[in-house]
Amino acid sequence: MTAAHGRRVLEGQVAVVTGAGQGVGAGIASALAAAGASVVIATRRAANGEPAAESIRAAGHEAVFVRCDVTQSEDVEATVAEAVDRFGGLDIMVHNAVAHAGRPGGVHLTGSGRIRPQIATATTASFLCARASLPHLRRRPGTLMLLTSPAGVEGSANLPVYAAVKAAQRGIVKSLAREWGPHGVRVNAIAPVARTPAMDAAVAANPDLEARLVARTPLGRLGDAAADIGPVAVFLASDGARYITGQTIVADGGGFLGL
Amino acid sequence: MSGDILVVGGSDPATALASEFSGNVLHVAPGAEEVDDGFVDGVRRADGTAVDGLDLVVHALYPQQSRTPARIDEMTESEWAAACDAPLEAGIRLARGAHRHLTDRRGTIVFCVPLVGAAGAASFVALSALAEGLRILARSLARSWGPEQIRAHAVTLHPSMFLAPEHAATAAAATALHDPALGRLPSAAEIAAVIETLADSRATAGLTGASLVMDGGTWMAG
Repeated sequence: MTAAHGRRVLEGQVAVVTGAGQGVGAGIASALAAAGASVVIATRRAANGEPAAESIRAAGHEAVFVRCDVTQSEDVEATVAEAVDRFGGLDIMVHNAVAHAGRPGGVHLTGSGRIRPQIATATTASFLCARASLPHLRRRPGTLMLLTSPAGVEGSANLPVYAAVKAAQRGIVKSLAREWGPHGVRVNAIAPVARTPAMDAAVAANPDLEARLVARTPLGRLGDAAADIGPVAVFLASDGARYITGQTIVADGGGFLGL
Repeated sequence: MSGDILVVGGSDPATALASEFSGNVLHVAPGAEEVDDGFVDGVRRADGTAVDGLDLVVHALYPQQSRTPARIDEMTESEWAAACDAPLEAGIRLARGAHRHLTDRRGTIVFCVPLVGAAGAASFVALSALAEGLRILARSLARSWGPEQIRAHAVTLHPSMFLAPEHAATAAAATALHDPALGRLPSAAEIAAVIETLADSRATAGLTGASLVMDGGTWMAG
């Protein structure tokens, strides 16, 4: 998979992807790089960020790891500055990082200490990523993408805080699309369902989960982060999506059909 | 309805709605940072007695920072936290604390949210995030509390119910909201009547997780 249409449609562009050390973020980063973008892998831990960048470089593309805690303004600003300094600008900002939701259960059963980190990693970090990237995105003009979830559309019995913060990110997308539209900067969200280390852990804890997810998915399988979700990000970043803004693209094999 | 109703939030729409409900209304207007997991336990009736069971909880807690227009690139971290993060956490913690009080009554929780969440509005990114977060929180509560017969809904209202007139006009223009089909926006009394109906188990026991737009037909998406 090299790009949405098998071409390097993002040649010469520069992307930052948060939470790109594994899972959906890594899939998006590799797809953007394969489409020609120079990619900054922004993660808290070098232990997964550096290998993710090395994997992209090993495939013949351009990537660099930058340590970044997305809840810290200085880290986000420094990450964007690194992208601009190293690659000459910023075209694509993807905020994918997510906090651990904790044990599944109703909102009254959610661990009290799990609430604020989820808000910080979703809404605070979206704000920080947007604010830091805007001056550079305006110059291109570029695009901002936030990774949300089908749970952020239809709610979740077992991950209510996660669903709330993912919905909040969709609110950010809609209003930012209106706010930044006059600058030509597009803002969209992707709501994926894909095999990730987090999904694998959830399946390990609840062996029936995968079968239930697949059963509600018309395409009959869980998505692949690089092959199924990455190309969606490539498309949204590409000129082919130049008239698309303020939208949530649900990439879940058809499991959610409510929009 | 003749039940115990807790209305949470200062200013409108909370104040306007609280005056229209027909039950035993407790209206509290805490700051977002004051709402913790034990907040509902600490609410007192006029006679000083503690709340012990609620039929309806109405959330409309939107700090002034949420209601004030600001472009995102001009906001500080503390302004964002006050406008979005803190009230979102307050909504979550209010729900956590209300659960016990709603259980015995098989009660209902309703989140009143501004239309800018669903429609988007320039200069109201934080309010939009807060509104969508709370709207979908209601769906999650409906899913997880349904087996206990606790119901949860979101009622979406026109921005003018939340914002100062000059700000509401800005939001309406920026959102390309058209004139309401009914030629007017609903009154607080009409909205309160609908919310009371949502809490009436005889009329709406089979209804939960609804996102009801009550704006006179301004927004007809989906």
